[in-house]
Amino acid sequence: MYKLFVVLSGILVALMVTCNGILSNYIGDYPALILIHGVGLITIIAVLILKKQRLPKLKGVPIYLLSAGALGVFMIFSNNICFTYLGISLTVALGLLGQAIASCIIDHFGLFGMEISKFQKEKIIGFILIFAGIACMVIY
Amino acid sequence: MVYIIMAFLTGCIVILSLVINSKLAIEIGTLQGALINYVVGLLFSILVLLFNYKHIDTTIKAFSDIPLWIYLGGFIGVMVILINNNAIPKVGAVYSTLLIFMGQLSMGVAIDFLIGNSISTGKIVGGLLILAGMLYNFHIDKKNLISLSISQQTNQ
Repeated sequence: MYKLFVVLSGILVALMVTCNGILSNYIGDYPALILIHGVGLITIIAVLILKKQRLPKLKGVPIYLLSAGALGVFMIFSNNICFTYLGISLTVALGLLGQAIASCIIDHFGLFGMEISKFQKEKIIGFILIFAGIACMVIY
Repeated sequence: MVYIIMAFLTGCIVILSLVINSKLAIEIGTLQGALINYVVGLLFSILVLLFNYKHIDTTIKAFSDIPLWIYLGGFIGVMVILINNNAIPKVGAVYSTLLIFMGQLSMGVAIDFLIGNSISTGKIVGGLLILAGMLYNFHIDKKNLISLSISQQTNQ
């Protein structure tokens, strides 16, 4: 049952990138960023209230941990542009490749205090298949 | 080509922000972390807009033309955070990654088909190849996890 929810979460991400991309085409890239974050902020505030959660205390939290929000702006901006030029499947596929490679690099070197887990050479075969798939999407 | 590299880099940054978010969540809680992300994100978007205000030519009319569901992007983002919070710990990180990839990829191909952007056998075959590659790597990850846990048990 939980597996279905996880698949649903992936489906929703594709839907989200599509919504944001179309919104960007309507009102422009920069105004869309504000609207998307505004709607998200209202939603998360509603969730916090409904779940009766406390507001966060930021005392003692290292400042770099707050940077993910800024990274998010770049991610949405870039997705919106790529959606227009590449379509959704290729945008998603390239994003997935980036995710797969980035997580391998982080795991291999144990960056950001993550546990080291060395890259398995067998995985190159998987990556070759993924590359072939993306080439297939780009060319045809 | 620029957009291909950009889409790829965005994927890398997704992982980076996942790592940062997980650390922030440990400090202040997951939902609270999400709140901070949206606040920082909104402030940052306003900054970006201020620096680029000369290029904006959005009219009020543009807003009235938009179907309502298009605004749901930000809402869906929060729903994804909620689902992931509850479901991923139950399913396990490695398996979840695979399932999320499958959902994204198949929905991506389906949407391209539905809005008639461009759908071709190339996209479907490409999607299947990517899926095969991910399944293969998942299989290796799983094998290593099992052998790791066995070696840990024998050590004890």
